Amino acid sequence: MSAGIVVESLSKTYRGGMVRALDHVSLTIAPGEVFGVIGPNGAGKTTLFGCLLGFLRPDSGTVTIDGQAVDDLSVRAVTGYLPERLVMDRWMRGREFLAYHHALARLPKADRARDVDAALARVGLEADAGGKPVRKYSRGMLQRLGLAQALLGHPRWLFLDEPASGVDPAGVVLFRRLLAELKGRGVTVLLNSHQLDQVERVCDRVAYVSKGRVEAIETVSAGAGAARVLRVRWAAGGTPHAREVLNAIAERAGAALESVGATEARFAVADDQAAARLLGALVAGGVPVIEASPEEGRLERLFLAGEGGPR
Amino acid sequence: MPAPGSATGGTRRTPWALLALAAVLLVLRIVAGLLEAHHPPDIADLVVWRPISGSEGMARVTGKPILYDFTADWCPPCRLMKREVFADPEQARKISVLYIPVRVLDRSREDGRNPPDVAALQTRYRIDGFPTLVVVSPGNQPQVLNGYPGRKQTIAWLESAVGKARLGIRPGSVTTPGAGDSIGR
Amino acid sequence: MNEALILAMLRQRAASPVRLVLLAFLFGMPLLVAVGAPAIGLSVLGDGYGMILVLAAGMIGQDLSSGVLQLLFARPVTRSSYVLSRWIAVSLAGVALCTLQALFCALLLTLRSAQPEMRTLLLVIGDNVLLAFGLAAVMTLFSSLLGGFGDLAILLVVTITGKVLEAIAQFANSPIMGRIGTEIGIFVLPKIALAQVFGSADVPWFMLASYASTVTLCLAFAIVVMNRKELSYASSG
Repeated sequence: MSAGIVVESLSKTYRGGMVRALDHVSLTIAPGEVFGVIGPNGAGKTTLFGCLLGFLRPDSGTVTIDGQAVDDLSVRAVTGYLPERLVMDRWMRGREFLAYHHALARLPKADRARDVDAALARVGLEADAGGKPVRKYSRGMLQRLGLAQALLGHPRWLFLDEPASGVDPAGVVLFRRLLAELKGRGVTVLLNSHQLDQVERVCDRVAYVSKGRVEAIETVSAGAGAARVLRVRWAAGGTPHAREVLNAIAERAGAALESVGATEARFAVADDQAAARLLGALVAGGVPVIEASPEEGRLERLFLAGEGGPR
Repeated sequence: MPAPGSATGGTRRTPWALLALAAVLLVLRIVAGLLEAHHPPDIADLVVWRPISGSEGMARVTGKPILYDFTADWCPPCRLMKREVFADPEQARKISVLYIPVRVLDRSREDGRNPPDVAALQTRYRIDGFPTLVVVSPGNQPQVLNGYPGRKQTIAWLESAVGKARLGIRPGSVTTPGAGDSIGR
Repeated sequence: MNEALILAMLRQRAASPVRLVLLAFLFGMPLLVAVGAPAIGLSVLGDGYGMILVLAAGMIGQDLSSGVLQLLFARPVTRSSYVLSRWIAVSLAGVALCTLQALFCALLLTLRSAQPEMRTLLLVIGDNVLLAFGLAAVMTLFSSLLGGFGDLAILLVVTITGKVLEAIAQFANSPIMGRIGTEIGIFVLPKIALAQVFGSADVPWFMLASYASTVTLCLAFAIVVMNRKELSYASSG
């Protein structure tokens, strides 16, 4: 059983102790988990990634991947990395770039051409894009190429830094689909992103990092079948619905009332069936439901709460 | 299992073998340097030097001018000229081909006095410093280069001397370029 | 040493128009002189210093500044194999150019009835091969210390320092200072005069040891520097 990514009391300072980039950060990312990292700029996410990838040496604390040092060659061989700012030799063509990384990853030469073509197809790059020099790529194409590079050799540990930035909506959909596929294969993914809705959709857990500390780790419901909070809106006008009435309806349907507003209320439901029962019960109870949606802004609340201090 | 987070394993292995080799070679370098400081190595002179006796006869037969190199072992500019001109494969070949090169080695400091042929040549051409190059061809005044004015100038002088030796030069003209190192006797 | 890294670097050099122009100039000029003044012979070639420098400039520094190293070192590539691959690539390219140039020169000289001796030609090629590996090693070290083309700056500063020390030594009559200056000069110009090695006189052990020492020291320290380097992972987060 793999040990996952274990970070213990990681600290890193810059400028001789003046800047505390990481302050005794501890995390455990289980194998197969999709783990998101969010936080304000300058919070230390970059430094955390750097330490996890072996670019930076922590001042104290340890970080291991599957029980081994992060820059161990055997760990590297099963790691894929998509940097935020993808830099590559401008003269290379897309295919050559992938072939280069294929060779660097010590993957068998016999499979190279086939793997490169498969990688290009996987990220939705057209076949002729592989023949174009990289300097002619658009931002979105570059991002896709970077993702293709990270996926070469079917890594077990994937580090993605702002993977969806600059990508068009089709690319975002593809990216989500890819992540779901990876999750199905048990790949552990560490994701750093500012796009909170994306993070909420794909991640199992999300760490909120601020001022070098992990302020919170949220378990995010990623699947449709998971427990979540439902926000129900009803038509304005008419008699206001009493809290007790709504509460009673919810309890009968097997849900829980969280909060009530003038034209909306939040209910906690266990799964899809519970959600369906609740909505049916509300309508039957005379509530003119016009909209029900998963609660938004949960992660955003972390940012706002963070500004006021740790939760 | 290597210590987690340490830089001793994986991609940042310290190149101990190479460092050890570099250390050993550094020591050898220092030792060789010290040894050579005390015993300067003989520089491989690529010019085919002829013995003094028989050189004049050979010059008459072949029609080539004689190049006398008046030199001494203890003279640093002589060593410099040897290294920079005579040890150069290209120049050495040219000298061996265009001239009859004869080395006249002064041994007065080491042995107290010189062999008769060396002394005679030094007197004939009024040698008073080292290195001195003298180009001699029948019917012409000897051309003299005092001291070592540097590689470029020496090569240039050698080329012009050959030309003049062929064309013939009027008596009384002696070429002595300006700046150059020269050691008195 | 990593074949993929070496090949990639060779192609990278070939894809830089500025380098190609400079190399063409440095390659062609001596050949033109050889055609015009064949009497000078193979001496027109010099030692290939300029061409090797053009190939070597920025060999690690540019990678440091551009940010490609983050992606590269996420792969199972040791930093030592990266350093050695850069060295080998530059050396091989230098060897190829210098050898081709020497052969072309010999051909041109032959056409101008000034055919050089085979031994001389081989010695010239051999000397240039050794200088290629030697100078590339020095530039490898310098290039690992600063980003961009800082290696050229370091080379310039060190070379000038050596010469200044030699000059001051003559002035102040200090043989120690002169020796230090000379040693610095030897360090930045690692070459072996093969004519001396194969000549009839003593084997120049100091010359050989200096060369081998310089090459190994430079490579070893370049690897140590790269091992210790923290890749500044500059981004907005």
